[in-house]
Amino acid sequence: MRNIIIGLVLLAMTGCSVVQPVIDRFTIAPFDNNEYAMINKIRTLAIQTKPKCGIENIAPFAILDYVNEMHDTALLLKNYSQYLPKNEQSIKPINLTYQMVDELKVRYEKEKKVSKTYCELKLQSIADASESIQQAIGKRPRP
Amino acid sequence: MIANQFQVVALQANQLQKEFAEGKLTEDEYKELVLNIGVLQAINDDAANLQENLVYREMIINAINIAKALA
Repeated sequence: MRNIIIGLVLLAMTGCSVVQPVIDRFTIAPFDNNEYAMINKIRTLAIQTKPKCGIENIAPFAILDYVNEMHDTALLLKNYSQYLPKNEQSIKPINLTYQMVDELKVRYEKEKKVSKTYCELKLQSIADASESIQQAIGKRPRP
Repeated sequence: MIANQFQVVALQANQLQKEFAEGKLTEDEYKELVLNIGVLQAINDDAANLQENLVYREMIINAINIAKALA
């Protein structure tokens, strides 16, 4: 066992292009409750908000409140994940998800009228993206 | 499930074209959603890679455990 580990370490130290991807694949950040909870919240908010598209002016279903909460959570997740060790593989998709939520928020703040179709398709994209990420990070090894 | 997500992306592309043709989206909204499809595809790719790496990791752990048992 010790010989195997020493061999792997020596190969990794030499920068062997064959071994390095194996090492990279082995070193994955463990499952993180906070990360999982936040991506789940974004997905759930997107699902909850979608039926309210097109009726955003009817209180208490002010859609911007949901969008703002989704945006806050996406930003929190983006910042939270940024410096977790061995977490590079999650950072990119999480940042892209934040970008989509941010576009939605900016449009609702900028435009007086946002089309129902835009709202539904955008929220569906956010829900789909969050689900993909949730599936992947949910399978991470428990610490 | 990840494979299903790729189908979702394809379905969204078709739906988007249809909705724009029917005038249910402004040009600006349409452009943003078209770009969104690429973003969604990238997210799905990254999530799929992460899942694949988790499978490889499991394989490596199993190989080490077998080697340990044989030693």
